[in-house]
Amino acid sequence: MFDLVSQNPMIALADKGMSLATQRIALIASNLANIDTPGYRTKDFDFAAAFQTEMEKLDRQFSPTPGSPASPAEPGITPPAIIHPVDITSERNDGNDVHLDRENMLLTQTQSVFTLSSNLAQGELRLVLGAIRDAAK
Amino acid sequence: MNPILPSQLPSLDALAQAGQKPASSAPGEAEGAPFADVLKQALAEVNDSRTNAEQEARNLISGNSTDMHTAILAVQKADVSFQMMMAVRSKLVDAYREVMRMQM
Repeated sequence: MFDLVSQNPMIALADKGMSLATQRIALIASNLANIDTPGYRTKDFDFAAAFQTEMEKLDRQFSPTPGSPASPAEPGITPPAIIHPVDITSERNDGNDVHLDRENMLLTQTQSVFTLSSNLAQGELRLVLGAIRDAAK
Repeated sequence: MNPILPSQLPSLDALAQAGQKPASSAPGEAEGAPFADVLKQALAEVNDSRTNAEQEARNLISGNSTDMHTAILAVQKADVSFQMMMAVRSKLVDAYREVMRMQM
């Protein structure tokens, strides 16, 4: 009942956004760490598709279709499928296809998604806190 | 940035109209919407603005849209509407207490 994260749509949304962003940052970090490893292939996942999957789960939870009961909140996120996004032809002689520029760009992009999500969650939590304080007066 | 006028807040319009008595109505005649309906409509509008803010946030995070200002504005609008609703609620409760304290 008092579970703010799974009961508030905005906080749940920001939660999923932050979880996925964290996973992607971990993958980018591992790509960067293996930039000199022979035969290493760049790992990534489709952020938009993974986020969409989570949003569909949230939709089922918050606005169930008539006839089917509301599904309970599912903790955690579905682990997104790891793909190798870089074309095999662009690998270097040692079989490694990590591109520093690509990883840097994705890192910044993902960090901004994380910051945005955390700001949204903060704002929403502040609103809830304000409502609680106001009601307790 | 332009200041947000009170008339742009969704919950205010209906309340402002409810406060104005129609000039041409005879006493005892039904006057406009019942107060409960006005309140319900205001609440529904606050809820809509929050749903809208959530949708904008979704679009922004998933990368479907890149205009951050639309999402931030929607979120801020929902915030202000919600706080407005809380303020109106507090005033209503205060008014109720005031009436309860009245000596007959």
